[in-house]
Amino acid sequence: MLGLSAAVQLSMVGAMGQRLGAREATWVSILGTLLGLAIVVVVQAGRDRHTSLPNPLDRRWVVAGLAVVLVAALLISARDIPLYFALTGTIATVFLILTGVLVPRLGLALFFAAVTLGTVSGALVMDDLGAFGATPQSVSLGRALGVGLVGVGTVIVRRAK
Amino acid sequence: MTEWAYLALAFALGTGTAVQLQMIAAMGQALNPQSAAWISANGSYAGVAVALGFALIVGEGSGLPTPLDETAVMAVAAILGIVLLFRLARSVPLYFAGTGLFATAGLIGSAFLVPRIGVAVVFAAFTLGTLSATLIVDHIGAFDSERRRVTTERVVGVGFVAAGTILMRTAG
Repeated sequence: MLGLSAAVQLSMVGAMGQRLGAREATWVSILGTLLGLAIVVVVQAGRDRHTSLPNPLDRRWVVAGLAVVLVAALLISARDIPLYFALTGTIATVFLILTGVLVPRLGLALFFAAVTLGTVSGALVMDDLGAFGATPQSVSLGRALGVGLVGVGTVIVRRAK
Repeated sequence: MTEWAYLALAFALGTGTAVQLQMIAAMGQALNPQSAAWISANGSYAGVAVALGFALIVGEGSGLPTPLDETAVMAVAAILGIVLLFRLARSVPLYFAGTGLFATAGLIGSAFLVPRIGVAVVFAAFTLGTLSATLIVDHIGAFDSERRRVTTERVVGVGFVAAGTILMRTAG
């Protein structure tokens, strides 16, 4: 699932990069990631209004204030592109948080193999649809075989002792 | 020769992604997953803000709307990001503040390489770099992680993933 979402994010960053430039697309994406994290942290904050982040972001109102600044920066940054691109980076929010949870349990090789499987599967579908203005690229035998090989490799890494 | 240098750069950027993921995992265990994610994203933000500010200083301009295309505004954004990053990362070893820079380098490096050697080749070399590095990172137990030794089966498995990724990107 994380890999699938990464494929969507990569397509959106690529589309933004063609309109704004690579650095600028990265900027918009990262602002979205920080905004997504801020929302998660504010929602998760306990009744004592303290967050899980280190000082000075350990108080809910500070993170909430930062979220407002991030929304403003995103709205300005995405002024010349469709507004949904402002949400690009929020996709990475879950990926980053779950990296900290899953890598210690699965090991890095298995984690990344599974993410790659999700990414190439997602890319196959996104390319076929021509998502976000990209030129459609239909599913061919070679590309489907490639996804199959990634799947087999992921299973082998999973079974390896 | 130049093309080999570009390939080596894409491979190296891929290994950086593996190191970044393991650093996030290590910070997640030392602090918590949310803090690890924030410190990494904050580092990426600071890196991009510095890159955008540098581009403005050398006259390359910016594709961002006003007022974010002004040097002073981007300089303030970069400084605030750097100050916040070091404040947040002070309870972990200092090098963890650089975690997010691997993502910045990967994104900007890809933008440099794609027009020169093509997206399929960059993606393949990058993924190969990441996959190779994941085996080594697991094997040595980098950043105090659990050690998972390199075995023939793991190498074969990662080889399949790499071959499938390359086929996926190069097949018509």
